[in-house]
Amino acid sequence: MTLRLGRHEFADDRTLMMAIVNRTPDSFFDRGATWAEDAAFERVRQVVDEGAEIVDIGGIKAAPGEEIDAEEEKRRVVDFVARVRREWPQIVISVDTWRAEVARAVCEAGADLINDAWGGADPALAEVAAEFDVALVCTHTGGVAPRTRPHRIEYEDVVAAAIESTVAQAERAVSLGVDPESILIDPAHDFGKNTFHSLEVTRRLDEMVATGWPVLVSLSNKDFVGESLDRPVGERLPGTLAATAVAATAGARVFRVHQVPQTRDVVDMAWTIAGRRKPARAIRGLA
Amino acid sequence: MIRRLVVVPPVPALLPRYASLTDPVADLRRSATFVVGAMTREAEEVSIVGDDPFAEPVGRALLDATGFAGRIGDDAEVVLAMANGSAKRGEKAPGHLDERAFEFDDVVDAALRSGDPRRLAALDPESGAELWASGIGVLRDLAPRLEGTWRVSVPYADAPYGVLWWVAAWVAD
Repeated sequence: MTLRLGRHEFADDRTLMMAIVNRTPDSFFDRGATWAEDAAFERVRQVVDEGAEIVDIGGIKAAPGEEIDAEEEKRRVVDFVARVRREWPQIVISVDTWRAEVARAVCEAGADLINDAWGGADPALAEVAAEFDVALVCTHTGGVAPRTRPHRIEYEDVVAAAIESTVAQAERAVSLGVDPESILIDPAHDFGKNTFHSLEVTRRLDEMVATGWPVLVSLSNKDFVGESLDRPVGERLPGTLAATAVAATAGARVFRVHQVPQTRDVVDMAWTIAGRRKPARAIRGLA
Repeated sequence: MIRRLVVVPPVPALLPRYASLTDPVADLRRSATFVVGAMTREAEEVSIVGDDPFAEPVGRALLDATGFAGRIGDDAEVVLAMANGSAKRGEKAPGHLDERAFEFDDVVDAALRSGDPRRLAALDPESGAELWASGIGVLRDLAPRLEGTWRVSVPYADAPYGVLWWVAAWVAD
């Protein structure tokens, strides 16, 4: 199925790099490196140059911390979205927010995609996506409130739960008027999940792909990688890329990442092995 | 009796199943497709001859690419001869470097450009086999069926990967 992200369309054999751009002082990976607006702007320039198709702009870190109200969140992201929109008309702008009020403001500023990373915590968010004809990411969090860590969560079948939740959100969004070609589902690694849950979701990602909804994965440098390998943040790239290869082989379409070029190569290689992408230029033994 | 002869190389990279995002043989493909299309357009039947396992599939792929709607059979008046020069033309060539490759290829090149079937009849398939050429015996054996005088064009002759490839067209006067 063609994927339509706001003003941009992608054929169903395309994989997309969604580069993380934090307008936060405290996100786990970059620790505020792009907190200043100009630094975030340079980060966008870098990932555009590296070939990212999507930038995912976030104003609140996922982990618990200082309370950020909607007004402050808007201060962090709305004008920035407008600035990125003016400079790079060709890039897909995603905003990572659970608040409909913030989503409305960024859509007015030129966003193409709302990344509802907290699993429909604000039911009005999908209505905003429909109203502005933008795309929506539907995620599985196991029902936890935004910015809470998982604590003793258990599932009878985590993959079944992820499918049930994300597909229900997707169908609800369609019923509210979101274009079915503008919906992605995301199992949301580490959100409402312990490491074993995230590993199982990775291992069985083909079951999510089989729903027919295009799948987004957000694996980059997360704790399930760190705990699997006993590696701190900053030493998780090989583990991230291994998980990326597994997800790509299963058929994930969109990859939310810190490191664009490395992920692009891994995804292209996995899709080429899977026979969904041709080699760039093959002549060995064929002359 | 043969009225039209096309010489093209049985290069596996020309097959659809070995396609890349960036075509490594774009120039060869363009030339071969154009010449095969022009030479077979009005033919009811075309023969494909060669001695390489890729001869027939590559010949068919080129015909398919031109929209050829006729039959493929034996002893047709239009023939695709699947042949190439030495694959030992450099240290990065498939068969590495054999200095004899250049002289051998020069002889074949001159024969293909001559329009003289006697020059094809004189080609040396044994040297060709040693030098990893393809279809040399086939060209030699076609010579008795190439009577009269011929107009010749050789729009492509190059060895971008250490194998000498030609696209040659012979049309009976």
